[in-house]
Amino acid sequence: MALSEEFRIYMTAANRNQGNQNDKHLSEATIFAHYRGELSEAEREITEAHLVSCAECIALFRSVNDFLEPPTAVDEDISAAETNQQWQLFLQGMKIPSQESHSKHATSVVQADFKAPPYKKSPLHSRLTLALAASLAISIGTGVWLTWGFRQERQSRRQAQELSARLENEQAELKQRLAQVTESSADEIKREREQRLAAEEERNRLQDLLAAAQPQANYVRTYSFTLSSDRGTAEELQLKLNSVAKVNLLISKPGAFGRYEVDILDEGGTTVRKFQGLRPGGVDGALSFRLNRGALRPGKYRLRLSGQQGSSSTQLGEYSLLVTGPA
Amino acid sequence: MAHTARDPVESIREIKRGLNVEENFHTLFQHHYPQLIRFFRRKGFDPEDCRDLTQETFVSVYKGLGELRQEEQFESWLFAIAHNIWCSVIEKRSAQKRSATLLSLDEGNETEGRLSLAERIPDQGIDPLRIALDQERLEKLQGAMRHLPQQMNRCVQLRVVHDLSHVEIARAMGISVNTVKAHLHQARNALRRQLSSYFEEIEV
Repeated sequence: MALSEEFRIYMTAANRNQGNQNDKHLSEATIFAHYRGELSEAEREITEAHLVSCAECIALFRSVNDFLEPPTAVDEDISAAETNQQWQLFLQGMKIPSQESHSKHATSVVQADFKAPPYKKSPLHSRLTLALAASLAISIGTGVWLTWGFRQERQSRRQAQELSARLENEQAELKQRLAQVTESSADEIKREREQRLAAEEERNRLQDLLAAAQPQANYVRTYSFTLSSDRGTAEELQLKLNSVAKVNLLISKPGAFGRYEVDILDEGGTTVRKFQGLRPGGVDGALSFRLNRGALRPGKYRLRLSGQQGSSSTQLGEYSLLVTGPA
Repeated sequence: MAHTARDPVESIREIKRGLNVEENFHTLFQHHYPQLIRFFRRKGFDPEDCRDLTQETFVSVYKGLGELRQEEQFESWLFAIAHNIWCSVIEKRSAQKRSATLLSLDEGNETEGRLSLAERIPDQGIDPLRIALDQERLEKLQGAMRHLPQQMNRCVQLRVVHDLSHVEIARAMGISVNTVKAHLHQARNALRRQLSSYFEEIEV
């Protein structure tokens, strides 16, 4: 070991025992300021004391010195040509074409590249970037919303079409069933009417036979008519009036009104006979009244049936009536 | 073309505003390229490495300039980048050295019939007398250093302990190089007078 080296080791030990007066290391900025003589007296004293006792900060200080120390006689000259050559290499390394060696168009490309993300923008640029980002976000949001809307609309349309198709099918089925029911009902009504007319005809034939068998003067011929809602004007009530006849009108709902009224009108619409306060009677709830030949000449008439409830009167139906006399 | 700023700080501001970016960055490059080359040369790199490291520094500056908040602090920020690059290179080289072939303390070179490293290193043991003498020398040295004026004391420490050059000491102490030389000369004489019986050679 060299003798001077031995002294250095003892000095280092003494320095270590002296201790670090400030455990907090110096910042680069502080060392820069200290190097440039920009610190106050107190700050300079603290910095010096720390530097003397801190190997790390001394190392950093030496680097700062290497960086800031002006060129000395031992430093090699760095020519402008070398600097420019290295600048060109830097541009190529950054894949940026040189402004000097390229066209005007290339220059604009260079500047565009230099403005690329690495640089933090000024507040103005930050606001612009924020605005652009907000616009982009709104555009994306609008696109997503529109896409979602279109998808929803398409789905709704598809559901509506499916519902419409199902309803159409159901409607078709209903129409078909209704047609079947209508056809069936019409057949049934027609059959019932035919049966009723046949019954009326048979009853009237029997009444004629009974009248022929009992030619007494006081015999009253009875006619019964069913006044259902489906009985049209073409199905006229035929009444042969020799002298006196009893008419029984069979109505579908005898209890609907308390009393009934029957008007017999001639072809001019004038009431020629009127029966008021008729009440349903008998086992079949028929409305009964009597007609004599003197009061009603042979001819065509209309029989109007009305229901009475209190003082109000409701017309229930109007039927053709054919009155014939003795043969 | 807009006006091009020549002041580096103004160049930085214009770059951050996106004005004449290439031209302003060129200004920074021209202004700091020699400084960076000198920095790496003073760190002991050969010229080719210096150019590569300087390029690497400028690339980092280009990528990170947007993060610089105070343009006036650009030079210290530039130094921090260069210093970090230098530290990274030192660490890589140290790692390469650590990955070199290791010699075993236990295994000798049998082909040459030599002793192992452990056998060749003498065990000096703990000598109480030596420890006492060392402690006495240390206390005498500390006492002598305390008698030196503070500025002279610090100059000696920076020179002997931290191995700073006269110029570096002058920069660290904010004094001239001649003052540093004078302090060291006076300190050497004073220490020699007081410690001659303890240290055969005192070189400051």
